[in-house]
Amino acid sequence: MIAAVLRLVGNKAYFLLSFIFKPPRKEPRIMIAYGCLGILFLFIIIKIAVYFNRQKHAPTHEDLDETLLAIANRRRDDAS
Amino acid sequence: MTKKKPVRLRPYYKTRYAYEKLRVCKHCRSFTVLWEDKCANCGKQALIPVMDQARINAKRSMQNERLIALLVMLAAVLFSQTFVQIVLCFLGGMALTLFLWWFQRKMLETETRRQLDKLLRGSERRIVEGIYLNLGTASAAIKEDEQLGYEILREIASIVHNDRIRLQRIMLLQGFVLRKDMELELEPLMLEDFEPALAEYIGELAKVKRELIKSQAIRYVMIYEREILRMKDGAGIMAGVAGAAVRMKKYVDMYPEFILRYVRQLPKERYLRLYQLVRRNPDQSWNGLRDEVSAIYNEKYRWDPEFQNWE
Ligand SMILES: [Zn+2]
Repeated sequence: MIAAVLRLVGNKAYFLLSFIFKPPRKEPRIMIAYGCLGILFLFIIIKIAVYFNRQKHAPTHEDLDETLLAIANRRRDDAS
Repeated sequence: MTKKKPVRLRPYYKTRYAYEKLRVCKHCRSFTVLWEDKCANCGKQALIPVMDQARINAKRSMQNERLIALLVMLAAVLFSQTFVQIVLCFLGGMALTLFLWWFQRKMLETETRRQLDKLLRGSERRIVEGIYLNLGTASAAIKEDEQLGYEILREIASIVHNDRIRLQRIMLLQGFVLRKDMELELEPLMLEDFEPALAEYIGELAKVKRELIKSQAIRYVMIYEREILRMKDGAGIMAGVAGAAVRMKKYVDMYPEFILRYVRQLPKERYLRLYQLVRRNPDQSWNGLRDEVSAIYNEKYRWDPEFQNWE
């Protein structure tokens, strides 16, 4: 039932998109479905790379303390 | 001088990191260092530690990423032609999203720290405003209840380090009867310049809690020795600090001349401690301190039974 609904929506979406992208005649919908999966795969790979990169440059607890103390003590001096 | 008040200070929870003292209001985003239940800015009970807020932010951004992944998976399912494709896209997408979720959970700690950094840097103005609000609370409290005022300043001082707050705290402490079991501190209160109240406070600590007298305080009284000696009972302060210094060999090694100047004013119990140190280190002369200690021994304590079994 759900699959049928999804397929119906898929058909509609494909019908609309086929005007824009003009996909090749042979099994075009499979291409789009797997293309989406490919995009998802890429997205996740990129996200993981970003996380790894951030982990390398993540501030330590001491850095955070330093940042806070710098903020809290910077303006006080010229204001008091 | 006004009469000192006996007080029982509330315990101070020392945190490992200063930022653990900082809380943020979930409602109006204002910051506070104090322990109040309600936000002083908007009155809502919505204060949470900044680290918790950072964790919420990190989780939210991760959740958004998972949502994007799920949407892309949905698109893949929608574009599928056969049932097998739908199942494949669904399972593949789910597996990838679950993998992302698993990875995000591993990264939550670093992400939280990154988000806290972002939060702090992005809220500079509001943090400073929050501190001002806290300082306002402190000065209002000082007028009504000095103890509460001191406790508030002590909290603020965990994040704001300046001489004005240090001096204010020393002044308030001078109004209290200091006791050994009190949570007192000295090093965070040390000032650069000479301040009679600080000298007096050091003198009192030398009496009630001499383990707080460390090199920094000894150096301070040595630098301002002349000024302190001009104070009422200045000599008492100096002798008190010298008496506290002899509790460790380290300080005798570092400041023998200073101790030598006040060795004759040491009370018997402190002198005994120094005498034991001298006896235990027969090869140290400590710039004449040793001879002076021997001379005092011969003059005053030669027949004192306490000095016979010094081991
Ligand atoms: Zn608020």
